[in-house]
Amino acid sequence: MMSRWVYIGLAYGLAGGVLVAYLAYLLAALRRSRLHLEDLQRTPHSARSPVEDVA
Amino acid sequence: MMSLDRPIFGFRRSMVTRLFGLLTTGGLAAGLVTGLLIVPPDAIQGEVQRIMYLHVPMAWNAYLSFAVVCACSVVYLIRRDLAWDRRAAASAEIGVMFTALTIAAGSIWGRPTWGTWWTWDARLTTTAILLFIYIGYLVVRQVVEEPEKRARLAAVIGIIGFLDVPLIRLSVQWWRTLHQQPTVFRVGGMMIDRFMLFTLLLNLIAFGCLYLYLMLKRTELEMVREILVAEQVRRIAHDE
Repeated sequence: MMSRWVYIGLAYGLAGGVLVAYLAYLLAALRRSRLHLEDLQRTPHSARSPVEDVA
Repeated sequence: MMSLDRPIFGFRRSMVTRLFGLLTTGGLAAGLVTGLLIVPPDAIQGEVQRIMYLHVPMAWNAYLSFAVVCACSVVYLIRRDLAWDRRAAASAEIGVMFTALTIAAGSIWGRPTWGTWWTWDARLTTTAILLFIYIGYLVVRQVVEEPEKRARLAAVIGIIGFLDVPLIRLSVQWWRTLHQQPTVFRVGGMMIDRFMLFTLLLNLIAFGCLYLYLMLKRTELEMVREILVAEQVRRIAHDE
């Protein structure tokens, strides 16, 4: 039978791993989207920005 | 350009996010040290009971997430403002993650305690149903393209799905289950040692801060993506 601490390590390791992976995904997606938006907004276009509609 | 850094209760959004990030980091570190190293092991279950300092806060966070989905969905159906749909979607995604982790941590605890990874116990089964309802909710959001229709459909699922939460809570009282009875909120007072309760509360607060931090980040992402789509549509219309 596995040591009790192996189960504890498994539970905490799994939860920690998933949470860190989700946070990394969120931050990476946010950074990518912001960069993409900045790229788009750098090129001049018509007057009203959709940022005003959403934000 | 209008800033995405909109105030939340009078404070800058980026500042609130950073504050909850710091509270989460400190809270989780303190909760981890207290739960794993300081609080004594349970008299009956032994060391493995330490998994409860993770399992219980994650389960409560999952219920909180789906309560927010339900509330935001109701507000969306009344006001028809897509900002509420965005909040519901963000909370559902976080709730699904916490529900899956709750089941996984419970299963890991169940193996040395009950002698099995899984059993079709009422509490476990209703929790699994909750997970599948909200996975369905996220699938519907991916499948339906028209924003208003997607928001309307998702809101209905989000509200109906939440009915499973009180069922989960009452399942251990309505049916004879392997899962233990409530320890904190129970008739006749709490059945938990003070130090253990403190550790549990510490982790509950830390996970609550984590939920708020993730919500702030996730809704921000949804907002930026929506602006991106609107900008692209505007450019296509302009080019034509």
